[in-house]
Amino acid sequence: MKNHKRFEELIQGYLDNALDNKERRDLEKHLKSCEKCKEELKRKETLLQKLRLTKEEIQCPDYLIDNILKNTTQEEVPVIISSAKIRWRYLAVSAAAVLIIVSTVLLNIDNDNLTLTTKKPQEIQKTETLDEIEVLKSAEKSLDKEKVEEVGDARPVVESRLKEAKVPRTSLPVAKKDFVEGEKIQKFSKELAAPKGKTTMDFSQSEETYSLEPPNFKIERLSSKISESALAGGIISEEDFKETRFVFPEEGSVVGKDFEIVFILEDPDEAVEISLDGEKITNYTKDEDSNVIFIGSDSIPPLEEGLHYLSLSTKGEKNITFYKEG
Amino acid sequence: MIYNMTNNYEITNELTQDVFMNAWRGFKSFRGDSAVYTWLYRIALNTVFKYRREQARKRDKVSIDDIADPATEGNPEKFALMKSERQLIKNMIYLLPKKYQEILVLRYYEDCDYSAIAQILGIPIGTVRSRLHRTLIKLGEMVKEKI
Repeated sequence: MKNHKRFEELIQGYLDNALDNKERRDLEKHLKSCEKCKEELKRKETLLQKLRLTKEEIQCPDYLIDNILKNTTQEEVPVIISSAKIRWRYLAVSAAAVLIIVSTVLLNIDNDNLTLTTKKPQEIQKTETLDEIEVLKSAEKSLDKEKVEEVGDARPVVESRLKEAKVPRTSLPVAKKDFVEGEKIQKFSKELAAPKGKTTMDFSQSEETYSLEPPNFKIERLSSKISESALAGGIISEEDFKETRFVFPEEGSVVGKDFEIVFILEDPDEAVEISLDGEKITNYTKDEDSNVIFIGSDSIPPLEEGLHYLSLSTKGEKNITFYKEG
Repeated sequence: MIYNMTNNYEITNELTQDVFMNAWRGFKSFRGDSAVYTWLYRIALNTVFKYRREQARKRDKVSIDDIADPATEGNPEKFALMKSERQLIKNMIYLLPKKYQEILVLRYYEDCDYSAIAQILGIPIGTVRSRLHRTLIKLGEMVKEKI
């Protein structure tokens, strides 16, 4: 009887094509001599045929997809960074996400805007606006490569240029537009060329600006080698990623505040190194089997006022640096 | 999947949005040790059953774990008496206990294999086969009884 019950379950596996070779052979042999199991197989087979006919499929309406995208991109989100194959669109999402998480949850800030700005190299050279970001850009652009190597770090030079500028942060360009992934960046840049609705200032054609609501941080891409294909979602070289930063242009500080930054690695086994201001962080949370890394405020030493640099690197292949200004 | 579990276009749209919003909001709890689609299936199942529980509570406090409902407008038994055998089977599925219903939907509507089902439902892979076996036996009995 017990043996018979086993065959009944094997029939189930047989119908679901989920038996190994031995089980299948055993069952087929048994079916030759057991009428009851033969009937059971036939009965289930018939029922399954009828059952499958009851399945109905409907087309997902476009407005539903639009609604979901709209709703999700307006809320705070976790970060997605693929360390194995870093793509611009991931970076864009992640940058926004990190900022949103930190800002909306933890900072005392005004309900302003979050702006993502990218500029092409020749356009950066043309830029004459004296705001904080532009100063950082020009400082970076003018850095002598050898000098950087000599110093070992470009940041002091950038910082000093920033201090010299003394530009009020309120001069940062602001535009309101729902954030989208990198694949849509070019599309939106065209839309932004003819701003409408809530847009509060004009943009030169050399500037591509995207914003998130409601936080008020700026994500700045300083790379001078962003290719068109990269912007469209292609893989970006290591060089392209050397200067990607998160800028917190608002008054106020994250110092002493709780926050959490989330990275998601494409490969859970990938070795990564996370550092803050050049100091390696080891106190972050990463489950053994998980590809998610949490860096909480308890993972790092107390932050003082000023610029901070959070970076994630993978075996020297890529390095993403996030600048945090307290 | 949601449509096949609710049989109602409007409710399906509403719950689909809920699923993605829940996934979005709960993304931090996603450990990454399973595929995203299995995680989403779990959220979808939870969302559908939660909706049904709420509907049941609103109606007459009938436990939805024992009696399912969705598009039956509050009277699944009556709905199940419809003449079409196809419709009859569909409505008998709604009347299955939750644990049978979810595994049946995943296997025969969504074509998930045993391994995926085990992940989605958080049960051992060996249990998938035995539970499917019991599910079909139960469904067969219910349909036979109605016919």
